[in-house]
Amino acid sequence: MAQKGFYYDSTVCTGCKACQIACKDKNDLKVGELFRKVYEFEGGTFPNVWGYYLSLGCNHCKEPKCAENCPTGAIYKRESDGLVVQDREKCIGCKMCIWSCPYERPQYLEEQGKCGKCDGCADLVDQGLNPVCVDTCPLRAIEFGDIEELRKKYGANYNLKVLPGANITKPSITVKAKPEAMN
Amino acid sequence: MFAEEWPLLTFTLLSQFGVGAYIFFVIVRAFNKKLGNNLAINVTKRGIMMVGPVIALALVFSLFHLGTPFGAYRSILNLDSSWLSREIIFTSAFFALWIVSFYLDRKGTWNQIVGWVTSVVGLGAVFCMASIYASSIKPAWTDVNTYLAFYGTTILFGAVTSMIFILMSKEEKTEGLTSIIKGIGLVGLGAMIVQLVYLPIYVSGLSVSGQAGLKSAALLTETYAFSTVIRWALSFVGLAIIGWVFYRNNKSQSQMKFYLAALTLVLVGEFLGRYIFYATGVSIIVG
Repeated sequence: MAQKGFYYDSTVCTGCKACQIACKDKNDLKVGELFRKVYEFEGGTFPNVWGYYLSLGCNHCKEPKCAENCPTGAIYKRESDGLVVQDREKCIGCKMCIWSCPYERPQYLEEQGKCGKCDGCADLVDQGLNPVCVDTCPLRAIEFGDIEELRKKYGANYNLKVLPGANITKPSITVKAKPEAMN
Repeated sequence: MFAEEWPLLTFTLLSQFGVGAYIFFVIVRAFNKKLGNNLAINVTKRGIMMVGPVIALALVFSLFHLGTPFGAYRSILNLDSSWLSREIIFTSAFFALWIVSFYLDRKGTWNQIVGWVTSVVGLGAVFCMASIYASSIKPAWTDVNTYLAFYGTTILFGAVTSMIFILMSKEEKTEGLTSIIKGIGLVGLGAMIVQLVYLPIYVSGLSVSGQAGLKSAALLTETYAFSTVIRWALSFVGLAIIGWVFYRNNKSQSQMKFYLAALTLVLVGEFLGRYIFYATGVSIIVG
């Protein structure tokens, strides 16, 4: 099965959150609901300080626990490109996906009484376009494509200190990180 | 925590109450021939009747957990991999089988095999229930402790409820029946001891399983330490009261207030235990 995924360059990201907002706009999310979220990390002692950002949407994991545990089958993995998508109609808002994702990505949509998540902008991908977060980034810090190819191009790096162990769900991401972000 | 999780808290507790009670009634009935006079059937008749409404109530409460309750029927669509789907199937099957066995019991043709099958399905429902938590990303839940806690509650509820129903029945407490009651009491006690023995292993395991586990361990040993002690004390005293009344005067039948007090203590103890279970479930997160 082909597997699409994200490459993210933490070394050039300025934390402008354009990706987060574009995603929010595309998915018409309400206050407090974020399918893609930019995390900020900082540390050190003056003058040796450091900081970096981490932009995370759904990692379209190889073994998505959210899809495995979803009782209605609303969340499923697309055969064609491995994107973990959701049939919102089917969702009953039981929040099992939220209990299952180590990356805190599925969100409870209060107004709808349902959960939602990043689907990699599957509708745009089907038209041969990029997810909105990718095209919105002014630094070109996010790239979308076949994860194998992205890892060939940029290296396979996903064991960041701040990320839960990749062995839990096998996320389809690779990150160019600052040394301080690595284990 | 309570505002969000009360439907699940009551669902798990009530369904375990129903399943536990049913299983113990069926076990008692297995001794029917030995006891003679249809005694085992007669002393558990009212108890069996109670199980169905309890399970029905549990299922209704579970709906309040859903953001879209009217879609509840769709929760059985992913039996392939979702423990939640399996839980709903097993709990519903338990309820359906209870109707069958209750109907047979009313007609005076109780079938022990149907009773056993229903019991096994009930145990399966509790297993699925525990597996939902065990397959989450909260270290406090992805542990053998979840199974011990859920089965422990099932057994303790079953033991306490069955003892109370038998002791409250009008039938004569023959020697055979008395020794069955003693046996049930010991099983209930055993279910508590197993959990208490595992508690330190559980907490020490949590404290070496990363940040989320460490936080859960800290909640258990600091914030909820006192509640944990109270929780076990209540359950234990509840069971002890039944034992005390039983040994003090097992001929008298006007012990209602003691039994009610005992049941209340065990219910509150297990409720508190389940509350702590939910409150200490800390998710693995980014950061």
